[in-house]
Amino acid sequence: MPPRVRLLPLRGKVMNKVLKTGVPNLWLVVMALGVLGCIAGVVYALSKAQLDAGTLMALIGAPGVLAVALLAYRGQRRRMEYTEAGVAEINRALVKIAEGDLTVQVPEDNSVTRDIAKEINASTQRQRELIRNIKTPFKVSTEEITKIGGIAEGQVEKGRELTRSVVESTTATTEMVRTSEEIKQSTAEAARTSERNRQRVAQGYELTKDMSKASADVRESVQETSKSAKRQGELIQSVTAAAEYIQALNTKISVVAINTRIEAEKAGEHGRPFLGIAEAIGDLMREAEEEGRKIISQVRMLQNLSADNLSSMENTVGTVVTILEYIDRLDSSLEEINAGSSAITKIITSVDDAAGQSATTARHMNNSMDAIRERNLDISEYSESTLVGVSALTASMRDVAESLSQFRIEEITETERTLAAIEDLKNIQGAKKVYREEEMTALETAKIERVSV
Amino acid sequence: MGISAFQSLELLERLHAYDNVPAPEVAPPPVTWVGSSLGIAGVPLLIGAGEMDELIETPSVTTIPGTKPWVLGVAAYKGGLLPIYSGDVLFRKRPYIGRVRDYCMVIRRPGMHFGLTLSHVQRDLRFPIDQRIMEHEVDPDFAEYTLGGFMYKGEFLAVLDIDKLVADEELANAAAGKASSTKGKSNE
Repeated sequence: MPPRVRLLPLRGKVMNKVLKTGVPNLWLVVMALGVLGCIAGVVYALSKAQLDAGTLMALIGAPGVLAVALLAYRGQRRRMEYTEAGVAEINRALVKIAEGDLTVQVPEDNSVTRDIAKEINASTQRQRELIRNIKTPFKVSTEEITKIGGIAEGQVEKGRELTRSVVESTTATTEMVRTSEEIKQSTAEAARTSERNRQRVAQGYELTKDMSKASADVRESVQETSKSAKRQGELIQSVTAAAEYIQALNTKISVVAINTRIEAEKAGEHGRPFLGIAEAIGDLMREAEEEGRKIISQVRMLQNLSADNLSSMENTVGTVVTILEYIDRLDSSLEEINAGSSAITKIITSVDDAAGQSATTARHMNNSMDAIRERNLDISEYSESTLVGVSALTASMRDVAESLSQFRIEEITETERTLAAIEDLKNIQGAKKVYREEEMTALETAKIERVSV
Repeated sequence: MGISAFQSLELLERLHAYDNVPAPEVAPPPVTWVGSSLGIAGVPLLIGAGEMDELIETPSVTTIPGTKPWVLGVAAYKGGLLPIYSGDVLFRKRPYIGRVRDYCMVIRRPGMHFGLTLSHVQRDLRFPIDQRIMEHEVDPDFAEYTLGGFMYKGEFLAVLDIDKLVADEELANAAAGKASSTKGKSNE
């Protein structure tokens, strides 16, 4: 802090004693002692010796001279006292001025010191005006510096907040970078999975093509088999018709045999050979009938089996057709899945690119945040320095104001003295702000954890 | 000079006679029942030999108005007319709508000469007479016209007694009464 400027009052007590006390009385005592000495000398001379005229004249004239001298001295003494009074007034005024009271007014009725008093009064008047002219802008400057100090303090506070915000933003961008890298890894894994799925879908697509081709072959084969089965059924139908015809022929032969037997019995003894023939035909017909019945039964079984096979083949064809429809649907679904997988792959790729760009941007942002934090620290330091300077300047201004306030340029009332005391107390309270700045300095100089991306 | 074959045979016969080997006894032929297996209205029946005159294919008939429903009509048969009766309608006593009967048997009795349609014809069968079963459940519509039967391949074949059938008064009068004039026709 700059040294406190204080105008010390002049101390002129010794001069005051010299000019005011003891000088006239001393002179009077000396003069009285001189007169008494002269008289004593005359009396001694008269009593001891005869005196000549000259000596007598000398003895007589000496008191006169002494009296004249005393009168002259008296006048001179009065003038000196008059002058001393004016000087004393001037001296008191000067003492007041030296104490800073510029409101003092030197009386101008003393003719000796009138000019000096006028000059002193004019000088104090000019000084008052000068001080008044100084105090007004000084007061304004003090208020503005106080405002600047407040602004600098606000800047420091804002700088701290900005530092915290930047640190938080840096942390957030770091987290964003980490999240972006995780997203990138996830998207890479998803892209690989999507690619594998796409390859599997492509394989499935090829398999559906093979299945479709195989199903078409199966359908054609089954259709050919169905045609053969139909032809077989027709043949079995014709065989059945032939068997039934044979069965009908057998019945007719049986009828013939029965009639033969009847006619042979009617013929009596002559018809006996026909009876044997009829019986032989009957025996043959029994075997033929049994075989024919077996044939018809088996042919009907064949017919039923052929019908079942035909129905089964028709069902198979229908199933194959249904399978082909399903394969078509599966093919369409696989194509859609393939297209969807390609779209997903593109989306994942775009997400990966976006995540990479986001990570890059976050890194740039982090670097920018670091730069901002560095600049903010610089700004905080500058603000802090500014605040310190402003505080010092404020203190200096306060000292100057106090020094200037020692110059009384106007009569101060009791209320103004009270307000001045309150103002002094306010200035004393301003020390807390200085302490907070130190605290802020300690906070600002503290180690700041740097987050590396 | 050697012996001839007849002489060898005679010697062999003498040797056997000398050995006193008895000749195998020929069992008497069993008494058999001979008849024809056929069916009427789906019921398998047996017709004894001599009971029917002939089996013929069902001829084309000419319907006779005013007769009972089981009279299909008359057909030309060996230069004469032969009434053809429907076995289905006669025994079941209800109109028949089904497969055309291809055969009918001709029955000739004194005063009765007609043909009766058959549902199927098999052949002549021969059964031992002791295997005839007299007590066996028979289709109710045929029960009063049968006389026992034989089991053949797990199936009971009832013997249709043509005499009972001919003796039936229903068959004796083919003229349609007032009650029967409203009965349905068959497709035969």
